[in-house]
Amino acid sequence: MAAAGNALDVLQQALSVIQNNVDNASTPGYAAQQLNLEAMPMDITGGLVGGLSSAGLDNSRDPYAEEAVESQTQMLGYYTAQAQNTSAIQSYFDVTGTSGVSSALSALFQSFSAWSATPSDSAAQQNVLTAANNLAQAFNGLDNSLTQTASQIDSQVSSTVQQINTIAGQIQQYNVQRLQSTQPDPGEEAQLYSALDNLSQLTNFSTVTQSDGTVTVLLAGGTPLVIGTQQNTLSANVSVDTQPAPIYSQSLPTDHIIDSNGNDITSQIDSGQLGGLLDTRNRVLAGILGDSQQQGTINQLAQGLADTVNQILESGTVSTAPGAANGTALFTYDSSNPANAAATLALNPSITGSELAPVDASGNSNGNANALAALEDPTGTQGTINGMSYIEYFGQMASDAGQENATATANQQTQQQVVAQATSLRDQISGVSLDKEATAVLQFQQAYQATAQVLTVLDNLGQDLMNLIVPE
Amino acid sequence: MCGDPAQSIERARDGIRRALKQWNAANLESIEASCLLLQESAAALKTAVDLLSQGKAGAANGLQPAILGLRRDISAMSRLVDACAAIHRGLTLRVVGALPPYDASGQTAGEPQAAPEHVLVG
Repeated sequence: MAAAGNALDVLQQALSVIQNNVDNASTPGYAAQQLNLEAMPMDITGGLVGGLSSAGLDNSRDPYAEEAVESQTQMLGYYTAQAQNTSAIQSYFDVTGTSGVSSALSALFQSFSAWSATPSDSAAQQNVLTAANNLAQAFNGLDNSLTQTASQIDSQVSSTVQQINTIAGQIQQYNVQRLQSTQPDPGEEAQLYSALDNLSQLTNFSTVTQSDGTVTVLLAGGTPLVIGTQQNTLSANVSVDTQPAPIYSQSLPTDHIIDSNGNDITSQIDSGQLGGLLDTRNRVLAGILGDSQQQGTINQLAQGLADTVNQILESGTVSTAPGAANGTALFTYDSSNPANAAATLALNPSITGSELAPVDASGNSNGNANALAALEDPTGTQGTINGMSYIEYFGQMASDAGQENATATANQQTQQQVVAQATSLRDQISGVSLDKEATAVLQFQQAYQATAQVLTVLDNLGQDLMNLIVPE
Repeated sequence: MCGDPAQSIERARDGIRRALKQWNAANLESIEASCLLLQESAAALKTAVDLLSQGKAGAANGLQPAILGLRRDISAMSRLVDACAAIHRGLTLRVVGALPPYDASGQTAGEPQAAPEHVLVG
């Protein structure tokens, strides 16, 4: 009788578990629970009455599948943040050449060319000043737009760090409650996994379930985010790197992630939304706007152009008359801060058209004007950066920005499918025994292999095509 | 043999794109259908290679962007298949009861390690 009563109690527990599974079917993070039943020994003479007993709850969550989804979701967060922000960056580069720096550069060279034909013509001189002013403003505008994007990313980094801290707090609370109970509560466990899902969109981490049931969350580099009942609160700051010693101490600061002990852990964040934001801010934008170690391509171009034009003009005279005045610089910029050249580039406020010097050092009446016009398509090293003319250099900047966005967008699209696959696979193995899935898993594996083989054939054919149109 | 290599390449790219879309669903039927589409793409590419191999230099003009695009498509598809195969390989090892030799991010995984000691505030 006692055995029958016990069995009924256990079956009642099993029914409760099933009801719980049904009730939580759509709860984020919930995995079906299963009550393990075991037969109790029966030995009437020894007083063992048999029956059923509960051997504890199991859930159908597979740690590997969970980790696979988290890891792939982290990469999706990374590519999504990259794609969104590089899209903004590339939009500032007009590749059509009808506006912005590209157009203003062409207009300046055209004005030099027209001036070289009529060096004394005041209208031609004024056109040069107007074109130079427009170019300086185009540089200022581009720099300003990119700096605003940097500032927006700074805010996103800060907000993402806050979200990470909030989620880490939820996991820490789970650990507190877990230590107070002997068995995991399905509802709380569902919240934990929902929190981990959310965290995986934001940053890269790994989890270790401790023997006491608490979950330890470690960032990729090993920095703990949550251990037991303790939380490592992260913070974001914007500062100029001091290690290695800065070459450009007044450059635009970059983003840093700091742990609760004051350690800079930025380099550990290389995935998730935060990783994508940091990469776009500290690599892509820093490459253009500069940081403590690099001047930035936009500043390199602005300074290179201004220095070359000024040097040519200042080496000549305003006319061929004996004792004619030396030329005046066309551009100014803050030379004390080369990493801010684009933002401070301006038309020399004191120059007038008549102070432009068309005569070169050898006395050729339009030698300087011709040299300036030739900067559009230089034949020597003057007027080049890394072997490219200024127009080509800007084109390369635009192309690089576009390529960053194209790569990030393509990666994002592919990664969405990887996450969908990983999530679907995880869901397929939730609620059924892995043994039952063994056959299906092997079939999948064979299908992947077949697909990979066809792709190898395709790749080889693609290479053959390239060889056929580009003879070595 | 007659035909336009540009059209063959475009047909191959179309097949790869459709194969890629099949992977929105993680089921065996979709993956097998995707494989068939890729086989059709391979056949179309083989035609393009044969046409160009016949030495029709004029036919190669202007094909480079399409071929580069094709190779990008193949690369994206390969990345997707590799990632899914890696996940599944780990799953297979789980099914047969062995520890996966690497985790989902491709790193070697052993027994879970104890968390390193850190001074925490909180």
